[in-house]
Amino acid sequence: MRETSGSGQACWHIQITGMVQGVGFRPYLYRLAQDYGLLGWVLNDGEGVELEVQGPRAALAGFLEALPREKPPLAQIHGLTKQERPPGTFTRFEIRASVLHSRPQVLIPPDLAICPQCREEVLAAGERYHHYPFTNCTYCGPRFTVVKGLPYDRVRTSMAAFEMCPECAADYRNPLHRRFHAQPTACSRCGPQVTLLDREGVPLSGHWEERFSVLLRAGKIFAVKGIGGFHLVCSALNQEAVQRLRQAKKRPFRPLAVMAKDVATVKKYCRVSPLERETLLGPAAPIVILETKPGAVPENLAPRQKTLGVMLPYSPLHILLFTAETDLLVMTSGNARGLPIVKDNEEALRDLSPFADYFLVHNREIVNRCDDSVVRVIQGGVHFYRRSRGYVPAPVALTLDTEADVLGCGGEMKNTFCLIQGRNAFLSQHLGDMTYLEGLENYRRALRHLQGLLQIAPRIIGYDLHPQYSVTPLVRGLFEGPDETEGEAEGNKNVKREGGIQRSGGIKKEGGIKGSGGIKRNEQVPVRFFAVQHHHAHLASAMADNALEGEVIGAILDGTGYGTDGTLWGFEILSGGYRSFTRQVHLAPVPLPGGERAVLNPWLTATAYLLTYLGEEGKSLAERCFPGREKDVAQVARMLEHEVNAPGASGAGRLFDAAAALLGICLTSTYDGQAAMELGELARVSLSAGGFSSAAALGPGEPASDRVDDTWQEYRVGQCVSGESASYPFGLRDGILEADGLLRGILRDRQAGFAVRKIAVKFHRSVAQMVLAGVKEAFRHTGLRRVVLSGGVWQNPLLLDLALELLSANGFTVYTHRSVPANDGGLSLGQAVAAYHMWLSEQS
Amino acid sequence: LAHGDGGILTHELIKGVFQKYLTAPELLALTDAALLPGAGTIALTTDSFVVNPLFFPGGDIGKLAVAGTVNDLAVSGSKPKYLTAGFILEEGLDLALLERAVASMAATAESCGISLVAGDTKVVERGKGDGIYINTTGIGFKDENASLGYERIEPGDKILLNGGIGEHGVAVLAERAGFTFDQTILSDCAPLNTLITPLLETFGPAVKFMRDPTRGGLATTAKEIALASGRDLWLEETAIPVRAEVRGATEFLGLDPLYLANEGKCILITAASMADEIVVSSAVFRQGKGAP
Ligand SMILES: [Fe+3]
Ligand SMILES: [Mg+2]
Ligand SMILES: [Zn+2]
Ligand SMILES: [Zn+2]
Repeated sequence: MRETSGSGQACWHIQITGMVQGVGFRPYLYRLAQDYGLLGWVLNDGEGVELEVQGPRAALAGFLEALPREKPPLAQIHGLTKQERPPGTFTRFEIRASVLHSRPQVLIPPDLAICPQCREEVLAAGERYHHYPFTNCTYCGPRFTVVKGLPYDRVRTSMAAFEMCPECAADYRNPLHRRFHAQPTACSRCGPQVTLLDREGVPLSGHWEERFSVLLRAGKIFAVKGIGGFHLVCSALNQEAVQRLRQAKKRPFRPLAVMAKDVATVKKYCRVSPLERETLLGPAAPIVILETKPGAVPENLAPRQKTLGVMLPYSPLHILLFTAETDLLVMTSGNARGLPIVKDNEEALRDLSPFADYFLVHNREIVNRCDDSVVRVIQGGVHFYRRSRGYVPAPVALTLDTEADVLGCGGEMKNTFCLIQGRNAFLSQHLGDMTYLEGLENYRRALRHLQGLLQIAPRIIGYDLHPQYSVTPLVRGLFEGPDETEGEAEGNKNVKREGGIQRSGGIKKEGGIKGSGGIKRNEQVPVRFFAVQHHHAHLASAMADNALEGEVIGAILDGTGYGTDGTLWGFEILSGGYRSFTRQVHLAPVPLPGGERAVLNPWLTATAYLLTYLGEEGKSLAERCFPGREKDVAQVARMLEHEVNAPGASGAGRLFDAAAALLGICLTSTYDGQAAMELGELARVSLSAGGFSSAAALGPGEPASDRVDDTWQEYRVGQCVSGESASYPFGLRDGILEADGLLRGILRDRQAGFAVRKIAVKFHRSVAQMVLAGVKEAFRHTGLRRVVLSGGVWQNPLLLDLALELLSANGFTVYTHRSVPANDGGLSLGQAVAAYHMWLSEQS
Repeated sequence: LAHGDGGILTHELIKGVFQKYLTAPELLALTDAALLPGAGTIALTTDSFVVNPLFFPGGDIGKLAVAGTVNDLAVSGSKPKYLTAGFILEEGLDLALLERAVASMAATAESCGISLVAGDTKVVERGKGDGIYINTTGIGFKDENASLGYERIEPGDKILLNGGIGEHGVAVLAERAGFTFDQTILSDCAPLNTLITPLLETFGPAVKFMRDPTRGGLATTAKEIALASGRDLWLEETAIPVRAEVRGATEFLGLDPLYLANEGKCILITAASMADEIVVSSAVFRQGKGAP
């Protein structure tokens, strides 16, 4: 017991909100109360944790002081209130049963990677946990993916199906045990089990681990059921297996994510900075994009990239997949192109049999599918490429405190939605592509589920201005109809992608979740819809992500988004705030021949650029740049001339496409953003040549150790060789940026025999200069000095680096995304915050 | 072209061009309205035709103006009988073009047994029209073998289609913009009553519903059917016929054949048990194969 001095008894009632359930908070309080010799009780309720402690005042003060300081690593305290109570007749400190409330305010933790203690138990000899794939404790294990409702108790998870054995039950009830109230706790005697199936669904005889390792070595491909869904798995070092997987998935070039046995293994293949190491080992265990060591990994894992997306085993099952021979596995999400990740066993046997030879399944239901998260460390900061497993549904904290609940619908690709209640913005897991019915149905379910868990009934809804985004009619069907539970527009289900022009909001009937008492502050608010322009949403997202108020300049470099003038935007220097914006500067639009087809064929965009800026000369240049496609060039010319399916677009992504095609780097794209990624990678590697040589000194044979890679050195902009420092000229008149100078420059340099990688660098510098020029112009009109960067193109680390340097050097304060992705995965946050402010300004 | 004002010139136009081809006795009577013998339920439809270019592979505005209206009558379960035509001509139009279009109208009307019985002509200033606009109004009599209706569509029914989609849309687009593809794509523009009337004779009430997927294509029409009937329609993408040359052209142009216009296609909905029989008995539907 801790020493405290002083006298006088008191009783305090304490209420704690935040991430305080499912993270070992009650046993922690139990132990702390014991430490200070206090009596009373603690319980979980719908708002968080509630406790009463009684004892000497000095001990109480010591307890309260230690409480936030010594809390469990994963717990987050958002609020703590204390009230004096008349002393009770307590004889001990006890943990009482959870109290159900109509309206939970507690936060559900995200899924947590296996903790070191559990890992040890799985690998150690023993009986209950030895090689048991579902070992977990209060500090680790599945949460969001198994939870059906709140409070977070076993009966409201998919673990309810498994009755605890006497030992597990005893640990679960023992306040001093690591598994005290660990809701998904299980052991080999009582918990879920793994089965290895063939394609017909017939179980293989023998122990699954042995069979698995033999088949893995034989180059087989597996569909493995994990935490948030299925992965397609094969040995990453077996090029044949990888190639077979690529062929089946029709993904010739897209980088495949891998899982490495441990950190030492990661270092065998990649360079790892201290922050990257910390991120890999953190409780979220995301895929981290790392620089590969030259020659260390097979080329076909990430063709044309010097990086690799790597994660560590985050569940005991994953640990057991590795063998002495195979320390690197391909772990790509188990889905067909454009469809949600598969989560159920039958679904896997049906939908993944074109890809997988065997199926490693288990009998714990995945309640919420959840893809792996993807991050990259740039300039000493962790940037999200995809925020999903390990982070969702933890909220992003806002500076505002909303009076009514808000929904941001998200975009058409890389979709997430965002629910805001009070100060918390809950972004959904990655829901991805909304092109197909399956994606939309997944969206509907995920939205209903999170709404139910958090008891959020949105009244203010922000959606993209694009008249054909598929989620808009779906959300309207859910929230504006008389029966909002199941009656979404029948007709919309029938045909793939039927949009229809959306009305802008009008006063609608009351919607929201039925039952559960409703939400007082929401009750008077009719459901209102607000269209938010795509790049305004990006701006608002970046502002909210950085807790900014007032007005800023937004440099939004994106693929394409629907503009207020009906054309496609995407290279925008905006000024404004949450409520409204002004388009200060933008790239001149160029027609995209075939619309979406041009996005898949960068050479078409390049041809359109040439034809638009250089006319007849451009035509012959295009014919020279793309030999064998002369006839197609002529057709493109006719499409432009007759305006046949050639919508004007000003996307920065398309400018990168055009440059990549003109340089012969990528003429057709086999995955989203391929051309821009390959162009960016070529330039980045060209600039970081110095960095590479130091890595090469390590060599692939370097003894794998767990020490921090001290040879790590991030490349700096200043390191570039001369000749690359120049940039191409461009025009800026009346707020319109013209890229014809870039085009001519690239073609001239190419003809002069300048190395492609150097042209690529020069191109990046030019784009950064265009951004600077646009920002300066916006500054001239507004006097604003704060600049937010948003849009998918900012995931290009070199461009980000160059622009940060240029803008800072010119006196601007620059903000990049921190908690949500710069791409459309962060769009919903901006939509929600913008819609809320539009609503607010209507109220006044 | 100065035929716009002045009775004499109009008269010459009528005599010289229209009456040369359009010879129904009801029309030749040159009365203000046609008196039409017939009994039973009358079907009436009207449509205006604006197409650029006026002549395209597989058809022209004249053929389109007849087939479009005839098809609307046919898919609503009636036998096309009488047609009226209103022309809006642009000053300066080459008379030879007009003549070709009218001749084509006549030939199409003849081929499907509809009589063109009334007409009108106006001339607008140069630059105020695309050469020729045609409005046609069609009258038909309900086919006693037909009992069609949205309400007859039931779960499990099959959707049949009489051939490849998107041909008209691509043919017109290609001609307008001067696209050249390895193989010329012909518009499917054709009257459907010659297919539908015998079909209804054989199968009668087994045919539950029909629509012609014109503007907006198969997808848009399917959506309209779904909304009106309150039923989900499932179109299996791989079962929908698209000619290879249409597929190639739409891929290049970045267009979706599901959303391109057809002018000689019929969506037919029938009970699953009757689907095979209809497909087998009809040469045309055999080509189109059934979409489950
Ligand atoms: Fe975007
Ligand atoms: Mg019509
Ligand atoms: Zn653990
Ligand atoms: Zn057990």
